[in-house]
Amino acid sequence: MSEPKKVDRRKFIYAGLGAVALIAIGAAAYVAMNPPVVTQTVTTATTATTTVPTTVVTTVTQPTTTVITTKPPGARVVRVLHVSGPEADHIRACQADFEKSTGITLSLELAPRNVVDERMYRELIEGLGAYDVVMGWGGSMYVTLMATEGYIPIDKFLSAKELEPFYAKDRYTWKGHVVGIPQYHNWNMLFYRKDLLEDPKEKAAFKAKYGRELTVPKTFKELYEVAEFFHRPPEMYGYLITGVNWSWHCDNYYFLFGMGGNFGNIETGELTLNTPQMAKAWDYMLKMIKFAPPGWEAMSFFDGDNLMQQGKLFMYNNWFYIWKTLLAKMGPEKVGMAPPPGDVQPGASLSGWLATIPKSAPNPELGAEFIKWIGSYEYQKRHVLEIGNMPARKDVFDDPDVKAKVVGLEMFKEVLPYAMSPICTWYPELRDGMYEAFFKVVKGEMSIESALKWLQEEKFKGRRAIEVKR
Amino acid sequence: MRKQTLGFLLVFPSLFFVGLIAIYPLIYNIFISFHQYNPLQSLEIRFVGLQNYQWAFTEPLVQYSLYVTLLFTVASVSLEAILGLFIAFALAKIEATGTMRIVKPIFLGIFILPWAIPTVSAAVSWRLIYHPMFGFLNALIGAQIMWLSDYNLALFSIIMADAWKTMPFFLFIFLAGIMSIPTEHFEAAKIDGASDFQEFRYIILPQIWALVLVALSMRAIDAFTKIFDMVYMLTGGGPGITTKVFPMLIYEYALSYFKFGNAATLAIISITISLIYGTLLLRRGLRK
Repeated sequence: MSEPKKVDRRKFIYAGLGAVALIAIGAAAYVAMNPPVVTQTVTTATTATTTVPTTVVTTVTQPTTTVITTKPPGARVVRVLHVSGPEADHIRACQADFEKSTGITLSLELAPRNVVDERMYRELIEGLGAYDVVMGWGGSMYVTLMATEGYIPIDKFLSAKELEPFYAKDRYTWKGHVVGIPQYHNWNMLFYRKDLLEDPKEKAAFKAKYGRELTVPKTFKELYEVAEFFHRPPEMYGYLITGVNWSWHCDNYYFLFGMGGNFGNIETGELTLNTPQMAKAWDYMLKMIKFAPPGWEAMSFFDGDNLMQQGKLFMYNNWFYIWKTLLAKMGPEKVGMAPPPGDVQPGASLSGWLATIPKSAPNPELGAEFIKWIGSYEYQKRHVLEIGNMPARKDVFDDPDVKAKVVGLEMFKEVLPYAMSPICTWYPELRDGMYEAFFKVVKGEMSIESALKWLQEEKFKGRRAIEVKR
Repeated sequence: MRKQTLGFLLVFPSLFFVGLIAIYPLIYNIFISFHQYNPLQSLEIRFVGLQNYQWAFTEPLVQYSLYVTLLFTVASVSLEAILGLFIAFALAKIEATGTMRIVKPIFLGIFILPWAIPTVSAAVSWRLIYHPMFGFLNALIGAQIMWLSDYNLALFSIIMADAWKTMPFFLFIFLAGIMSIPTEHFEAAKIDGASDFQEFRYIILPQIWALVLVALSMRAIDAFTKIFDMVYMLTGGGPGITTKVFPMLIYEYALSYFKFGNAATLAIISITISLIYGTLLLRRGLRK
């Protein structure tokens, strides 16, 4: 037997690593330098297949249609993607009603909020074809996903008469077609300490100081004055501007929409950041920071919920999910709700999970049946009564049971027509850029004017609000 | 020769799967970094050459984020290592006295706890501890310090929380190292009249030095490439961009903006930095 050759272990490891690295770099360089010309396949609503030739495109692998066959032979199964949370749980609770009334089996798949966007994009943009219905479009995604046109408009399945009862359809209508049906509507309201606002002593003191009656603020000037009046640190803080990125952008909406502005122009596709409305909105936001509790920079609206219940906050703007809790914990005599203030209109931001049928849906007709059920009077009423969200239908607002149970229904009705969504197809990127600029202003590194100019002319130079090439 | 072939055949399945799950994504990542792929805008994967790298090296936010991440890595890893070493030494001394046999497991249990708690839960607890109005820390020191919202303190607060969470990693590695040193060395040192510091400096440190280097390099790479959850939960990268660490920036570009070309470029930069750093540190350790 010959003696095996001794190899220096270190040299061996380095040689191995070097070889792997060389192969990796070589392979990447080869693929990068030799982009193959391929075609992408898009499955359309009518299940016809369109082949789109591309020139500079490399490898777009269209995922194949996936149908999970867990259904018994002959059964009709509608596959629905939804966001984890009370709204999805409610569908689950009503699942038996749906299945009984339609004879369709519901397969509901839930995704956490932080991953649902990606899952929706896979369906609506890349055309994965795994679901018949995709739910979970938040308000900030309305324009993004509508512009991608990866869905079959619901008006292909529902008649104009059937669509008539739905509120605020213009917010989810694209190129003349209604995109889907919201499971519910959601927007922000102003929550305040009713007991203090209605206290005669406070009213008298306010009148003496400001020369007018103490009322629920309707304009930003009134908001400022009321916040200033009730700002009594450390016992109580006047108003909460939140500083955590994902919460700050809600405040940004409220003030901008209340000024009648938006981030883009839907008609021209222009990005509208350096505008008088935006400047005024930021000016008020900066002024309101004075009345925020210490540490607001790291707070979200959830902190506002706690501070309000602990009696440390006089008022704040928040999604109305909190209304039921505040009423239950503080009592109707202590807490009040009002339309969000605004100089041009109530500064309200619209959201709610929109249900849509992807173009790649394996069973679009079943998807339409599911959406019809979601939009039915019976389901909408049940959702309002059991979850507390606002209905997507006008007629449910007038239902006697709903009127009897929902506190502040008229106020909700008053605000809904004004609730807006951001006009920008790349909103998360825009939001983070604006957040960065806003805090440069807070730190005193920039003025509002220079920050908005920087955003429009440097940070997002050449960008448009609607940037979709399909 | 037959043995070598057999050996290769035996390890081939493992090599194949490692290659599949580690090498292929890396190659694809490198590939994407030379392209623009933004599905929110278009489904085209467009070759852009070095444009993404040019962007990464000129974008102030990327540079700032790299700086913050390096600062975090150096500060938190140093703090964790020093604390870990100090506590490991103290525990070893207690062990040597033989007086704490019953208490020792309790100590070890307490020290392993931060490491065992999920980071998200730990971050939520630290968020409450740091709360400016109701936080334990401010109540303890009788001041109202904005731990997470002060521009100059936010990163420091994250480093403290991370050091608390990760210090046991060093502690247990170092403790194991110290415990493996033959007791004769300590006995001889004692006869020669060595102080505790001299024991530490001339017996412990040289003998566990390789461990220190390996632990430092592993943890530094981990801190640099994986610090995300603690920052996400405590500050969300704010206030402003004050604590926007590099993994968070990569996450945003990939899964928030869906600009995969930019995200892949940032990931490659991150991998390259940690690879260079790790290799240098390990080579130095191996030479020693």
